[in-house]
Amino acid sequence: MKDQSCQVVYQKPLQGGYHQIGLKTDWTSFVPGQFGMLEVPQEQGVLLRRPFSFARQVGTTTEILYKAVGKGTIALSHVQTGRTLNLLGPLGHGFSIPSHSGDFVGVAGGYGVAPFLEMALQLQRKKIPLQLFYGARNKQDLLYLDEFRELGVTLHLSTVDGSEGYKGLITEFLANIYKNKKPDIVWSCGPMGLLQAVQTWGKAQNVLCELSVEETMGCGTGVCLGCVVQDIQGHYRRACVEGPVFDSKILKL
Amino acid sequence: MSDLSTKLGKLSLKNPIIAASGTFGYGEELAQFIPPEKLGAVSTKGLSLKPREGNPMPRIIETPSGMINAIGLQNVGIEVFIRDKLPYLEKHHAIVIANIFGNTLDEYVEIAKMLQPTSVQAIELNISCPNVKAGGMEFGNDPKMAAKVTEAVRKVFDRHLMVKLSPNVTSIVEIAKSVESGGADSLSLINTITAMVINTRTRRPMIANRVGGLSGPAIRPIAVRMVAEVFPQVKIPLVGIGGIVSLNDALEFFIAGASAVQIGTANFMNPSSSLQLLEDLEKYCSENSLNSIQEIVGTLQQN
Repeated sequence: MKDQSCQVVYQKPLQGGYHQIGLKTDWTSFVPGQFGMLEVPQEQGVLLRRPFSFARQVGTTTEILYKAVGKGTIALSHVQTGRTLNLLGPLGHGFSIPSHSGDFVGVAGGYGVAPFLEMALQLQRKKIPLQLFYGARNKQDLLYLDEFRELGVTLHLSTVDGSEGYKGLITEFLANIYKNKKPDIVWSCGPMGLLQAVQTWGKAQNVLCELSVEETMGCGTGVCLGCVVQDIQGHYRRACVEGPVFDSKILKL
Repeated sequence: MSDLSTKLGKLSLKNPIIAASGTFGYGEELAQFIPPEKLGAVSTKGLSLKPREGNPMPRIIETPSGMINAIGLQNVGIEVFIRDKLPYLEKHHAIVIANIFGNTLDEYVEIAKMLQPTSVQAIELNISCPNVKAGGMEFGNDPKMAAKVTEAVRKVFDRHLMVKLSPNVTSIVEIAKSVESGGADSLSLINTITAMVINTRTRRPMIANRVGGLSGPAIRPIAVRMVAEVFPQVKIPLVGIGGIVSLNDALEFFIAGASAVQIGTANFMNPSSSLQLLEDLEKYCSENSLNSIQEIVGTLQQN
């Protein structure tokens, strides 16, 4: 974990209000699922940094994928290349990355796809295949598809409106494909409904699932206690320190 | 280099910058950014007799130039604090202010008794947390109860006793005076201001606890006003708290009458903000030929 002033190397608008921003960092690697607290311009009373999952590391550049939806992210989307922003990272515990081949499955919803790009990069280096189930509301919300195809990821796409791939929820698609077989591990990142569905399915199928939770965050360093998730014993665990990736068996979602 | 050392009664601090309770964990979490011994003191996360799980989510929300929190005093409990957390602060020779909270007067006394044989240099009585249903708030609202709990803790703890005041009262001066008469050595003010944000689509409060405590720069002018109001009315030293981020923010509190300040929400914005402030304060003192920051404390002029 480091707090550094990072130069914005690039800032690219994508379709559907999404953006990718590249930041010059001291670190050269992170674990997929780890995140950073990024300073956003303190306009209109914006105070706190924003938590963003890291999407990929290329040399000394960390890429973040975000959607300009609120005051902070809209202000961020106006930041020009060359400006510096403080970035605290890499934070938290990421996904467990295997060292041997197996049947490994990612389940992403919306911009929860971000950590899977770095995952695909790291697995490709180890020549380990990745099956990615990736669902979104519509075609516009499906991102990084070219990158995933280049990295040899097997894509299973779904959209709620049927504009691309399977029409329906990605977890239904997952359950259909894996009706008669079991993956070795499932990694998931996306909205709460998706994580709950993966957790329920994983429990029924007795499959090890790791879930990356998204919570409101104040500090990212474990002191504000604003980002907790409840475990099955009823204890609160901090998404920023103990998470954001948890074994689905211990979470009460 | 200027002398930043500060005295709160008999308690000597190497500088007037204190980490505020609930924003600095138990001192170890942010040590990579701020070695706790570099600060004047560290006020711990609010400690209760038994461990507390705290409130359901959502617990925090950003508001214009501030944030609302309703953590609900999630903490490890006094026993675990003394056994597992305090040794780290001791090892690093940090000045420790144990922020404590009870549901009843007896609980406050019990916790203070447990702290008496330890190395903690001070207790900060939290009689003003807005996020728990029983206890705290009632003590902080009622001058008689505030004096009573101060007196009771005074009897069992012989080192520095700081009492943290709530802004959610009709007259903070009245509470301040009662707490002083109860034997407090200093007053820290202000705690957060009870606040609410509503989701207009669902027509529900955005915080699970309905209300929470507003902190950050948004509350600073209120806090400065309260410090300036209390300062001429009591003899014991004041510790200013409320949205301090920059040097100028801290100076306002010193001029209003605070002998030291606590940094809270700024720790979330930037984990090293206290160290930056310390540097700026040193620079300010030397540029203005101040031998000590104490020279400007309570120097508010009349208009």
